Amino acid sequence: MDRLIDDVARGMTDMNLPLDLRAAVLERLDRRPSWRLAWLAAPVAVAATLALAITLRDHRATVNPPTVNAPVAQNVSKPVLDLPVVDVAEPVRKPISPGPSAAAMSPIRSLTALPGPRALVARDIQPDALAIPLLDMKPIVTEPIAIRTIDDGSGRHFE
Amino acid sequence: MSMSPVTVAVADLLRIAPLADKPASEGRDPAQVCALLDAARTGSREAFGDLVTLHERAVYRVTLTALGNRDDALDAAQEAFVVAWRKLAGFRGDASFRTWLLTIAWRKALDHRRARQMGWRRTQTAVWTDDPDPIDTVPHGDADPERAIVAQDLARRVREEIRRLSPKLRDALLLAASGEYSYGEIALMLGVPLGTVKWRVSEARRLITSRMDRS
Repeated sequence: MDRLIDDVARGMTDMNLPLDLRAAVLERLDRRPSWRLAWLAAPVAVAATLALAITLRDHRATVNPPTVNAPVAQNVSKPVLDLPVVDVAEPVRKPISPGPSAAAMSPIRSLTALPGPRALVARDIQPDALAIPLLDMKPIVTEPIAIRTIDDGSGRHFE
Repeated sequence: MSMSPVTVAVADLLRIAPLADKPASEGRDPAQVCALLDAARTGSREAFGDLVTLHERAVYRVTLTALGNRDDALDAAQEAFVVAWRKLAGFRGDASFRTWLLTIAWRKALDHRRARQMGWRRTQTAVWTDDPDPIDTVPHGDADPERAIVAQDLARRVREEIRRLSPKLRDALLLAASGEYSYGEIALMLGVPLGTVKWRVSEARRLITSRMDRS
């Protein structure tokens, strides 16, 4: 049985070379190895990716500066986005009677007319709920320590 | 030791010679290899080409054993020779050139095998399952058709069991059974002690035999 196994196993790898390996190898010796290009290209690709990521992060930070209280920022942003529809178009069609000033036409000026932010901030934060109750602590009282004079018999006194 | 009629029939059908006691490379003139090696080290591609010709069969068989696919094996064999050419200056002669070359070829073949497993390379069907079985090409006018059919079935089952072996056992068995390499060379190639190679070959045979008995 062992002999049979060996014979069959040998037959499985007993193949004639399908091509002129010598010529193929000698032809390959002249080829530029692709892995060298890959090794050169890999660090460049990594550096480019990092630079792109840093640029995008900086750009995002400039457009949306980070805020301390994220929920409040979300609530405020909604009325600001609606601004052009409500406030900018209206003064153009109906000028205010005393005469429109540049300040009144400004979208920044019209922010003050919006009712939202202050009320939302107050409701969302609820500072009273976060208040820490004051601790009722009695003052620490220590009794004075009475130290008697030590006399070691040498005539000197220690206190 | 006499061979059973079925074994003889299988051997006949496979048209293979009995196992050689020595690796095929041992008949080569070491002085010739040394001279070619020296010339190749100085940059002679012609000499290196001759070294390729001398060792191409052994290298191809190593890669075919690891990969089981003719195209992948050829690719790995070529890469192994290219690596050998580039590292020729670093070859110190601690082992024979052939062993050194076979070790490179085995590593290259394993790289291909890993890449294939990871899906980095196009998966190809192993030649052991893809190519027509030599036994299937039994001529119909055989003197003893019954014996031929029995041998055909037996050999097919053995092949199937060899395929089912774990890679470590299968590698050792295929390399040892090829008759192309000594156990020492196989141990160096696989990077395991000599005793481990012998155990793996023995264990592979035992497993195949027990599975054949059960089925």
